[in-house]
Formats: sequence, C-alpha cells, structure tokens
Amino acid sequence: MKIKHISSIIVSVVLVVVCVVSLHAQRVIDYIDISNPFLRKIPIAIPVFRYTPETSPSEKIAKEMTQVLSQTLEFTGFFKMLNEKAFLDDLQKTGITGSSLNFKNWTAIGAELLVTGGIHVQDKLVVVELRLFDTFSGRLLVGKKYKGWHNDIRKIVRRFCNEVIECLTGNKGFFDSQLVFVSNHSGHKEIYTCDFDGYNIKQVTSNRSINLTPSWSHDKQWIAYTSYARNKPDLYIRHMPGKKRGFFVSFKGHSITPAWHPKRMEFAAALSRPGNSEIYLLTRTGKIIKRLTYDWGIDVSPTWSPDGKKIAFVSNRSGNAHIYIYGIDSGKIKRLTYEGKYNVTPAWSPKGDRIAYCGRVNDQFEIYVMNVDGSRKMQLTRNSGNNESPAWSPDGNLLAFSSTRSGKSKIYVMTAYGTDQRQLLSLGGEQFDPNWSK
Amino acid sequence: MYAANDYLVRSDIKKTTWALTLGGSAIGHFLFFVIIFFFPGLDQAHKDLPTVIDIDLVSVTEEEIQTQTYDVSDPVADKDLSEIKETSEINDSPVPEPVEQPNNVYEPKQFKPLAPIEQPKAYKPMKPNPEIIQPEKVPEPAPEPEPVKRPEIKEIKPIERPSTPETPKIKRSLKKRTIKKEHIARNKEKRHLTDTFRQLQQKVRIDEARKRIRQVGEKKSSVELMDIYKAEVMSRINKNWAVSVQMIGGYETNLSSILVINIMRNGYIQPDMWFEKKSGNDYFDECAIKAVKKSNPLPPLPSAYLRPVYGPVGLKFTPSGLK
Repeated sequence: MKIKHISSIIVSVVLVVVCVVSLHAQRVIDYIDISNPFLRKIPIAIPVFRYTPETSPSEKIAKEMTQVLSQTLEFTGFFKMLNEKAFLDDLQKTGITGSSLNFKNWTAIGAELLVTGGIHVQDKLVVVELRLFDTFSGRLLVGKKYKGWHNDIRKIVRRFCNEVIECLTGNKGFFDSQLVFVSNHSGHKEIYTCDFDGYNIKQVTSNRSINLTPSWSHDKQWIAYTSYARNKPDLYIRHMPGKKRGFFVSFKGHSITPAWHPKRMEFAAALSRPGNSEIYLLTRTGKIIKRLTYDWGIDVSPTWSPDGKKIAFVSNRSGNAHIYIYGIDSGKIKRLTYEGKYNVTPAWSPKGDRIAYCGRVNDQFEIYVMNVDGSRKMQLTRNSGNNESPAWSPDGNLLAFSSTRSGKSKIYVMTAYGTDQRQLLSLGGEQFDPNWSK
Repeated sequence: MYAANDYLVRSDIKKTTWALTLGGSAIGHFLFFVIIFFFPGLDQAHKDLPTVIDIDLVSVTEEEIQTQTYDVSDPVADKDLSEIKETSEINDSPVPEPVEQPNNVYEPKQFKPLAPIEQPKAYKPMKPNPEIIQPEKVPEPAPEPEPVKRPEIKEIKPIERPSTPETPKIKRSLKKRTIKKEHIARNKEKRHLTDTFRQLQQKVRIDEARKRIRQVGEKKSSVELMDIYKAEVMSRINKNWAVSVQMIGGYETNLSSILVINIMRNGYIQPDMWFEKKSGNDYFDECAIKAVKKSNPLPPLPSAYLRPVYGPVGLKFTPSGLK
C-alpha cells in the first residue's frame, strides 16, 4: 500500500517538475519599442535623367526637368529629396529600367523610392520615359512615356506627379489645380490666378476697384467674387475660360463672401438684404434658392462640407465672432468655437474631417484646425505675423494662407499639420484671400 | 465514472489509496505554486513582459557626438534664446550634470567641438551642411582676438533677440553676414536643429537609463548588457525609420505593429521576419520592414551573450514619438 502512496506522490512531483521545466524551456520573446521615426517623410532619390543624344542642350533639358520634378514632388510635403551628391549611381551609365538598376546602391543611401527618367531630344520634340521604383522590392510602381514640345516639360512632369501621388495615396494629386487670390501690386485689389506652385500668374479682373474673396466652382470653370466696382459690395460670377457671359448679382445692401457648392452649380453667400447679414443659397445666375440662416446677428463666410450637406459659417450671435455649423436639411445649428473673441474664415477640408479657420490671440491672427465637432483644436502658425484666410488644397494635405511674417501680406503654403511653411509666390504689393480650385 | 465509483465503494483499502493519491496530487500542486511563487523567474508570463526600459535610447558613438554638437552650434536661427544664453554661462564650468531637460544638457558639448581641431571629422557624415558652416567659422577666429568660444555665443544671441543688452561686444559685420546666410539656409538649419534635438534627447535618455540600470544593481551584468544592446538596436532602427506623417493620417494616430526578428551573433538579422501584429495600415507596416532592412546589420551581440542567436525579438513600432 505504502509503495502505492509513495509512487503516486512521486508521479505528481515529476509532473510538477516537467511542467515547470517545459515552461522554462519555452523561448522568451523580448520586445523593443520603436516609437520615434527619424524622418517624417518618404526619402526619395531623383537622379538626373538619362539623356540622348549626349549633347549639352539635351543635358540642359534633362537637368531642368529633373529639377522641376524634384520641386513638384517636394511641394506636396510627402517627400524628402535625397541630396544628389550622395548618389552612388549615375543614370547616364546604368540605364533607367528595373533590370539595369542596382537597387542596393539606392537603398544604401536611404532611398525608399527612386524615380528614373530618360529623355530623348529630337529637334523640338522631347520623348520622356519616367519610372517610379520601390527600391527595396525593386518593383516598378509607375512607368509612363510622354512626348511633347520643349516647353511642355512642366506639364509632363505634373502629369507624372499626379500618377505618383495616386499610386502612393490612392487619391489624385493636385498638380492640375490652381489658386485664385487677391493682389494689390498694381495699385488696386485685383484678382489673379496661378498654378498650385505659384507659376503662371494671370490677372482676372482689371476694374481698378476693390475685388475680394474669390471662390472656385467645383468644375473650375467659374469664379465668384465680391467687387466694389459699382461702389458697393456686390457679387460677380465670371467664366474662367472667358467663353461664356458672366453674371452680376446685386441686392439691397451688401452681398459678400461667396462659396460654391462642392457638387452643384450653386453657391452660398452672405446678403444683407433682410437688414442684417444672413446666408443665402443662390443659383449660378444669382437667383435666391433659399435663405439658410435666421438670426439677429451677422452671419458671413460660409464654407461647404464636401458632401454639400452642411455649411460652416461665422456669426456674432453670441456677441463675438465664432464659427457655427448649419445642416442644410436638418436646419440644426451647432457652435464649434468658444475660445477667444474672434474666429473667422472657416474652410472645410475636402477630406471632410477638419475645418481650418483664423483666430485672434493677443492681437495676432493665427491659423487653427479643428475637427468638425469642434474637438482637437490645433494651432498651426505662431509667432510669425498675422496669418489669415486658410484654403485647403484639393487633396486636403496642404493649406494656403496669407501671412504678414515678412512684412507685407503674402501667400504661404503649409501642410495640414503646420509643417513646411513656405512662401508660394513673390509678387510686389500684398496678396491675400487665397482659394484653391479642385 | 461508473467504474470509478464502484471501485471506491467496494473496498476500504482501495479507498485509502484513492485518498492518498488525491493528497499526493494536492501536495504536488502546492509544490508547484510554491515554486512559481518563490522563483518567479521561471514563470513565463513574467518573461513575456518587456524587460526593456520603455525609452528611446541612443548609443552615442564618437562620430555622432561630433555631428550633433556641430549641428547645434550653427543652426542658430530659430531656437530658444534662453537656452543658448544659459550655456554661455555653463560653458566655463567643468562638465555639468545632465539635467532632466535635454536642451540644457547638450550645451556643454556644443562648445567643445568648436575648437577647430576636432571639427573636420564632423563634416563627413552630414552632407548638406558644410557649405553653410564653414564660411561662418572661418571668419570668426580671425577678427576676434578672444578665445573662439566666446564670439560664437555672442553671435547667436543678437540674431534671435536683438534687444538683449548683455553683450556689448557684438561685431556688427559678422552679425550681418551670419544673418544673411541664415536667411538663405534657414529651412535646412531648422530641420537639422530639430533632428539634433531629437538625437540629444535620446542621448540624455540613454544616460539616464544606464544610471537607472546601474542603480537597480541586481542582475547587473546580464540585464544591463542586453538592455544596452536593445537600446542600441532601438536607436539604430529609429534612425533608419522614415514614415510620412501625411500617409499615416497625422501626428495623432494609434497605429502599432509588432515585427519579430532574430539577430545573429554578428548582428545580421535573419531573413525570415514576421508580423506578430499588423497595424492595419499597409504603408506603415512596410515602413517598419524597410527600417529594419536598412538597419541590417545591427551591432553584433555582446560577447557575454552566450547563445548564437538573440531572439525572437518583437519590434514594437508605434509613431508615438511624433506627438
């Protein structure tokens, strides 16, 4: 009997030992926290394009095009351009296709993306091949061939950049977009347009009056703006290609701050027809569809949500200028800002999740963004003069705004997180009220 | 069940056997728990927890120190003036103790490399800068009879806060020159400044961590050894990690993924790595893999570590450092 007892005890002890040992024998996993990316952008290498024939004019074109491509991609704020002095390979020697490239020489310098280009110059024509590679997998992400005149270089580059951005983010790039803004360098506040990167400035109005708050329609064909051409602020609707007749919208009192509907040919604007400024919905030709706000206070500066179902606007119904949201269908109004005494010029992000606006702190105007419910407010500019009238890029990644950081008001661009702030264009005089087309 | 019951009921002797077996098993369990209790090291659950210190650390090689310091000394442009002023005072005192705030700590080192002898080395690692700095440095010693350190400091102040009355000896011409240069290269410098700050912060943390580990004392040799190694791995991968803020939806994301790797004796990472957890954002996960690949080979395992392979190690990627 006792043997049985003892044996049962022994068995259980053995079991215990086996359990413990097996536990111990299992491999232990350690963890290391990696939480601080050194670079907050995608490192990309863009070596000088390969050119044929090997003559100095074609080399010049290749270099220029490479530079334009670098600048255009860098503008987005997505990329960190690697210094070409670090490059180990020269496309002129290696070639530009996946099979002829040694990707290790590109990963070694930290590049995660590589753009190779080959340019063939014939008389006044250029044939360009552009490729985007993932340097780690060697995968071809985008490959395109373009043919054009010498002065089409910028166009070609932009088209390729659109492909690159679409490949990486899934959304279209904004390289075909344009900005409209007000400048007084001619002595009058006239309206101008330029490409997204500040090139190709064109004058739109020349009435030697005061023109303000231009706004692009969703199809980029029309702009609406406020003008004092007839001695009081009225609205003007202008066809940008200039082929169609424009419209003049005038009511009793002032008519200001037009904002096009994101999908339809309608716009919201502030009219003081009823006695104080209220927001109305109008057709493209200026007929009133509906009055949107009813309040004793002043309501101005509407901006549409991307689905066209809500507007954000500025009202002083609480005593100070603050930002409110109005549901077109529900008719509900919600106040978003409570801080400070002056929050104006809201701009609803095309992504729909954020609203940028200008607020006054300590007698300085700064740009802020917040969620559409008023939470997560973030100050994007600080200690750099007055920063006003934010406008989103069509992909919602960049913000254009006007700033007096260098003295006179100029147009600046930054990312949606306030980084990479830089001046967009250098014109004389002052520029303000930017608005970005789709 | 039926048979067992029968068995129990039928014989007395066998009943006692049964009881004793139960008792034995009870004792066994008791022993088991006692062992677990007194030797928690054997418990795997505990081991699963990261034995790592939850900090961003950097092993600072000499090269790095040089680049850091050299970085700080020139991009004067937009940094807090207060800090720089402090340093000018600290400067003369011997080696100050690293304080909590990383900003204060880097200062003393900032000035050492200004001595022209060490400098040249520093230029190599950082490519874009030398153009900006060299011209600044060269003119300084020439016009100023004073030790090199001083003028550098004074220059820094006027640029940022012209009103500071403390330093009457400012050389106008020099100041102007530097200001111009800064205007040209402001962006670059800003970037370098922030980078440097980040590096310095990490450095301070590693120092603190080392201290803390030393204080803990206990399993000194092995723990400290591997913790420092892990810290090196962490800094190496952080340094090679590039994530576009815009692609991951801003600074306040909760993405996190765990990539498991094995590190060989010579520091090379075994080619098979896998995700224990994916973040749900393909781009983010891919960046993690690229960061690891770029960091290969890692520093070789410490010689006191006896196994041929260190791992599996889970690399937990979270962009929390962005905030």
